[in-house]
Amino acid sequence: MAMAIASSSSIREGDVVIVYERHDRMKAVTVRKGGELQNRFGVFRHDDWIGKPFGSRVVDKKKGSGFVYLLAPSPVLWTLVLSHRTQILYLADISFVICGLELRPGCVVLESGTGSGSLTTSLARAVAPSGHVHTFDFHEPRASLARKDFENNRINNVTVGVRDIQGQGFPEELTDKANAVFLDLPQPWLAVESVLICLRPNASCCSFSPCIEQVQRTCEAFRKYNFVDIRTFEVLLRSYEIRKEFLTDISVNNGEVEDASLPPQKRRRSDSSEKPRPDGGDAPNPSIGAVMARPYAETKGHTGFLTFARCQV
Amino acid sequence: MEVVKAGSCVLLDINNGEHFVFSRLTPAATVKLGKAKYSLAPVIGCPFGSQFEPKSSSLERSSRAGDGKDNNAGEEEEEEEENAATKDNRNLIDDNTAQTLSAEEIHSMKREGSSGQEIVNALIANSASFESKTTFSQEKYKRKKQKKYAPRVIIRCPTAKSVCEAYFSKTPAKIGFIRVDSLSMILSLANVGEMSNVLVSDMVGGLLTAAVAERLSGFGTVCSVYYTPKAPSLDIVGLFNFDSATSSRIFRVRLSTLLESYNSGLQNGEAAPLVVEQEKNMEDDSGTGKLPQSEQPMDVQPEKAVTEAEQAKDMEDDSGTGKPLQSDPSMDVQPEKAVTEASQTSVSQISENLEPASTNPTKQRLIQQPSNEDVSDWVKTGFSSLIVGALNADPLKTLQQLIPLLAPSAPFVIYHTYLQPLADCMFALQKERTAVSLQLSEPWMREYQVLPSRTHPHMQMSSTGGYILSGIKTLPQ
Repeated sequence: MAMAIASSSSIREGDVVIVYERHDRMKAVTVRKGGELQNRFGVFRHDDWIGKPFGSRVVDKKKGSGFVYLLAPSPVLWTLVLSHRTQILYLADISFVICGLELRPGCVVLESGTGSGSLTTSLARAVAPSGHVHTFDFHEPRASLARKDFENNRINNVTVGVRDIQGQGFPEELTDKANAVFLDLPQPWLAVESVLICLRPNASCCSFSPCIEQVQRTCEAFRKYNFVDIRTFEVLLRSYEIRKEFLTDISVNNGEVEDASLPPQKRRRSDSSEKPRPDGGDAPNPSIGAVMARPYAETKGHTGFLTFARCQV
Repeated sequence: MEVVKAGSCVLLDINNGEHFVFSRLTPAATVKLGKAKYSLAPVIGCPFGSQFEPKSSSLERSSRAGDGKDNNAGEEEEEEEENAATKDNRNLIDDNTAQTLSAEEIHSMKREGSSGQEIVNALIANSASFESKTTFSQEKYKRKKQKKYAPRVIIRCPTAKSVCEAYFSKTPAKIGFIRVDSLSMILSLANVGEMSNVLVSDMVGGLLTAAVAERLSGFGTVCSVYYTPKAPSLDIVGLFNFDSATSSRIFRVRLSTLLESYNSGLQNGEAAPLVVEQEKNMEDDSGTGKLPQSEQPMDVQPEKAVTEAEQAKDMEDDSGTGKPLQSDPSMDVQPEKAVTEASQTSVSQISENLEPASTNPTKQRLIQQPSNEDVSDWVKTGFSSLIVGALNADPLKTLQQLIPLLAPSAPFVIYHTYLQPLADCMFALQKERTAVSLQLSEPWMREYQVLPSRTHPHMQMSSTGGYILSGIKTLPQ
């Protein structure tokens, strides 16, 4: 039962806890008796965490004012905290791949390359408990680190192999076993023939490539090997920030309003029904307040193209 | 599920995305291709993904080989690109005189039993302008004529992806305009999977409930909660061919039941079972006249009655946003029958009709009613995540009611077609300090055509798939 919160369970030694400081500051910590976490908010002892439910707020020991939240790990949180050994896939692509490959418990999925295990973690959760992920990376140390992460996170339905899928294809024993295949390779077209051999009929493959030239060559290979339903997408997530803003109502006070460039705090807040003073003097400047949303100024422009293709029946 | 079974539901993909129809494969099931109707009997026993074409008066299986290819794929693709450069459309005049084959001649070809492909070939042969077109233009012309004269139907398996895409392309209002990338994001953010106990407020026809149930496949529970006097339609769940392991873990419950269990739990320090409330619910849910109350919740007819009556209403009702998703009339029962004989024409009983004289009293219903024990267990431990897709409900009020029912550290995801209600909700939640990791996002998706020398984004694109507010519940202080 990895990465599923067991509602009634509390934090035990050996558990991985996601320590949440801020929406963009989180880290994964493995709980150890006598262990300690030090950050800008203070010192936090692991012993205080043991026995508490996930979702608890803990206060630091030194000053007693700093706090962090202890959250249960999930594939989404793991993607945000894991150590990057390679460029990773993020939530928008991960969720689209899982839905696009029509994954569900019991599916057998093949993946190459493993990279930092970001997608692998989500794949494992999607097919658990009866399904399996066979993931391959040609870099032995990276494969080893990924194995360690899965073990630490108690993910037991993933097998990490060290293999060059581009050069050698998938192992023969996976012939006709796969319900889905995912490729994140520099030259995925070299693996398409092997993918065809591994895929069960009507099952799909998804290939992720940053460059359009790679996509073109991959689609060409899919066509050559008689794949159907070949479709290429881009997905992104646009995030919004919200603030309560106050906008000046210029219809009052005979059009004589206070300096609109002053920050909202300096202006008096009131509703627009307030009448202007007869002498036209220091009338309070009415403004209209509301919660407003706008996209964050910084956003991801591109991660990669996702090409799906289905094996014929 | 790899092979089409009798009595199951299939998604008929006509001309590769042009038209979608859901059909339940009863012996009388048919599909309309062009102007004629064809029996779907040949489909049974074939694998999902099979393609069929009309041959004389029945459907025959055909191969999709050459589907993804242009005329000459592989090494010849380069040659094509060179040829394309020499031709252009400077001398082509669009005045409808290029085609010399008349409509009458086409009709007589059809009467004589010419195949669709033969008609297409004849049209090409009799087109004065065909030869002067570029290769790309010729292929486009060919595909266009094939769609009209040689229709094909691909038998697709209903999955969250295929069902969502079909509805989104034809009748998006029925699923609250949830696009497939939005749906996939919701499922991931809510960490749906093994051992999950997911609370869903589903006012989008059952799409969310079904998608969650598919990702659980019986290894977790999905509880669809409602608060309207009559339970909202969850008909989409019926399209998925769920086995009994999966459907035994799909529940529907009234919000007041959950809240009363929660409140009494607060008073007593534990969640108490509420037998009286359960019976009251059964009466309320019936919607089609009085039906006998049964002591065992599993036997209750009203649940079936409501599903069927709504299914009928659903088929007749046109949401008014574009072409309605055409339900093949053979899907299930004739609407009129369903309303009056509601207690006898549930989905599970249709399957029973196909089995010879089988009496199966424990035949699995699509959606279960929870026992008192179920309710008190869920309320005591808390649901492991929450998904809300209820466009008429105020998001903040909804979350204020439902977040207390979640376990601490449980993620919640609320979808809406408008940004402002979610922004207001997020602002209030930030002040309340009941959640962390609050995020307001808008999924963006674009599809590309990737062909030699013709790679570009699709000309048509969906501008919006709605907005998603997500967060994680923290333990109240």
